[in-house]
Amino acid sequence: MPKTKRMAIILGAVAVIIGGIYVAINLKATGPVRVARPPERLIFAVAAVLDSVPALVAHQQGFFARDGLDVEIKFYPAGKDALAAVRRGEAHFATVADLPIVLATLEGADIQIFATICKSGRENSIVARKDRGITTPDQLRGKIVGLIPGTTSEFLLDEFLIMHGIPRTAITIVGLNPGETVDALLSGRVDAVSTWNQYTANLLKNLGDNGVRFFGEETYQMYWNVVATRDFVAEHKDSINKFVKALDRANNYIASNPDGAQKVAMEAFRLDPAQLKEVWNDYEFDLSLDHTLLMTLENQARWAMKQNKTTAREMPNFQNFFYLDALHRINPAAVTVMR
Amino acid sequence: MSIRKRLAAIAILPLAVALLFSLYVIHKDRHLRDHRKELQFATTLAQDVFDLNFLSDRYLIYQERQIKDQWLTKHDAIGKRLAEKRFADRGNEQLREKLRRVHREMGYIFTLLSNDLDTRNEVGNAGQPDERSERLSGVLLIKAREMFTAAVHLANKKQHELASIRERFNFSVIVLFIALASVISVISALSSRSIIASIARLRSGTEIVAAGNLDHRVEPVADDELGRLARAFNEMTERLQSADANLRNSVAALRLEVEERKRAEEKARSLNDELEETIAALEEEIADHQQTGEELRDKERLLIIQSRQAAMGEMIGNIAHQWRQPLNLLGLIVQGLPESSDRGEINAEDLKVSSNKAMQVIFHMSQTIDDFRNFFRPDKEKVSFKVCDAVSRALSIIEGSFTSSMITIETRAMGDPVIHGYPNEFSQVLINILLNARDAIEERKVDNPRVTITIDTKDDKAVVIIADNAGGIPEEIMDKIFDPYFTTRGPDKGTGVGLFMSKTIIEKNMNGALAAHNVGNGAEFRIEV
Repeated sequence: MPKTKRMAIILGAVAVIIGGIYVAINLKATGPVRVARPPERLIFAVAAVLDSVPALVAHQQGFFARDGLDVEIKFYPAGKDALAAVRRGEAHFATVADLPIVLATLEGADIQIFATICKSGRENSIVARKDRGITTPDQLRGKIVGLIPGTTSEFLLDEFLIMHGIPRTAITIVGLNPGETVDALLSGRVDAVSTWNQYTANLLKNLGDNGVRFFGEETYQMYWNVVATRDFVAEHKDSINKFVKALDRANNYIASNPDGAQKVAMEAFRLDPAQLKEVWNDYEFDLSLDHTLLMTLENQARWAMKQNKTTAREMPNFQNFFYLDALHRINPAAVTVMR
Repeated sequence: MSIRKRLAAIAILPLAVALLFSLYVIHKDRHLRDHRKELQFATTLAQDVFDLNFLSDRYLIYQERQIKDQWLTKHDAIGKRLAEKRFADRGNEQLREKLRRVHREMGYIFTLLSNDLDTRNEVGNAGQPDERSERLSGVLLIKAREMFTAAVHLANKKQHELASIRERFNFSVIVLFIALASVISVISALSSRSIIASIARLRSGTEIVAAGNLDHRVEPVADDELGRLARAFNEMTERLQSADANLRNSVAALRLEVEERKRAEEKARSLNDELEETIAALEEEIADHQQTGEELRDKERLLIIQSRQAAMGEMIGNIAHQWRQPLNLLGLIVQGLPESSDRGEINAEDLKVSSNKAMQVIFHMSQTIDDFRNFFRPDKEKVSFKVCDAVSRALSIIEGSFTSSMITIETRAMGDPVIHGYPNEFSQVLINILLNARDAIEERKVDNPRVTITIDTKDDKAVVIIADNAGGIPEEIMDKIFDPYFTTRGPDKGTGVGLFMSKTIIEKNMNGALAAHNVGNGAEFRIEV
């Protein structure tokens, strides 16, 4: 065989090997071939709090649309309102904290959590007026404290009082809407409020040196979740998968491009950029389904039953209120809920 | 690049690749080692957190002090471990920070809880947990779980990272190996192709040139050994072409030369013929010349004979002059004898005396004859002789005639030079000159006639000068006196060959010089030999 021909065969074989490796890598990377389908229209009830930023980013960056989901976002003042919208059938998904889920499930709501999109120990805090003699937690005794009933605001205040040895009877509790918490404290209608982060920034700005803030992060971390009804989950697993995937992308985007994510939040909630930057690190945007959430739900359920926040007297098995498969498909390590 | 360098590079390339691989593997191994340490840290941490959670559960059940101490020790150890470690990866570092935060919160909660439990035990309410203790217990368990989850997550993450790094490492090694092997193969192939193409072109070029096309040139494809070989081959072809052209020119020139030579040969042949004809003519001419020479030699011989005859005549005259006195003496002796006899005066003694006198006279006369005979005998070969002797012999022959003519001969010998030649012929030359001087003196009736012979040496040559006072040689004939048959005397007295023969003897036979010129009141002949 001539040398040139032999050389050509060798080079050809090398090229085939390299080409084969390239094709194999690309096949592995691209996965199954996509089939074009009409987009699925979904309503996403989103509470207007910073914990919901992943939902907004997924929508604004087109991560839902990329996987064939036509998602419409509807804002609600609180997570419990968004959850209520899902329960009423006005929305398919809702962003909601742990306590509203507990209360809803104790009331018989058949919902399932399929992802936690944010965790924060500082989302809830107590802001008080110094001119009302409050500079330490113990000085809350005898004061009027406002809260948002049925939300983590209420749970945090109760946890805070217990941890600081203050009897519930030592304070006067006033129920407020989320937006009212600011005016109530600034006007002096209440001496302190247990409220959410985006309101505390406003409160502290207006109170100036007259304001004081107490956290309960050592004992309570809020889990911000996405839920849907069990029936919807059962019937739309593919959509759930895509939905979770889009949220995962959104969280990755937030991690890699925090400025872009903050811009989305500012546009959605009309927040002051400086204030936003100040509180941004209070949030842990990470897609997960932790067993600690389940334990938190159980603790809150015990608390709710003891405090007669529900008529239910039997602890539900919260394992049944989790849908783990969607997140487990894309990130098994993120799912630590025991099965 | 030259082929030698290219081959060296190809040979070194695998070594360089192996070195590169080694460096890469060493680098990656260090990277992997760091990750393995971090994984070990995360795994150990997860184990510690698990142990802490186990202690938390035990404490919540038994609420005993030693368990509390064990818990605090373990908690403290975990805190130190977390404080010492730093991760380069941002995600891992965030996890570590989260672990530290939860660890801190656990400590806070455990302290609150243990204080509550201790207080309650002190007041005797053991076994009846209050709401706060219950809540703290719940939170502690949550925190414990959270911490364990975070620790496991960190360990899993590190494990995943390690596996990913290993996978990437293996993949990159394979890709790198294939890529570098491909590069080596391509470089080898390209080099081989280039070399083969060069060789093929060179071979083709050599074949074309070998077929006789010296105008063909091999195009060098690269600046390497084969390129240089191609250029050298082209130079060789050019030289070959030049040599070929020169050869062709030489052949043409040779052909021309051959033709020219042929023409020259023909011409030479023609010339030879002409030469032969000329030679023949010359031979004829030479024959004529020889004949003329013979005639000349005959004439010369005749001249010599004439000269000798003249000399002979002179000699006879001289003999007669020499003999005249002895003959008179001999006549007187013979005449006296009868008279003495008549007077009776003669006796034996007187007869003997007279006889002896007569015999002496006769002997003298015989001696004279021998001298003349010897003088006129031609010399056979050159010999060395003294000039003075030659002069004496000449004078002995002619002095009688000079005496009778009352001519004084004065000889001045300044030396006694010796010359190599023919002595008789030299003496004859002297006699000829002396006789010419005598004849001139007698003819011109000179008063107090005198001939002076001077013998000297000058510049290693013998010089003989014969001068007379006869009035000299007329200038109009000065340049003719040595011509043959030239004479100023009538045919009865001179032959005109004397001075001619003298000049011939001195200059031709003895390589000397004979010249004449007028000095004072006479002529002077100068002989140099």
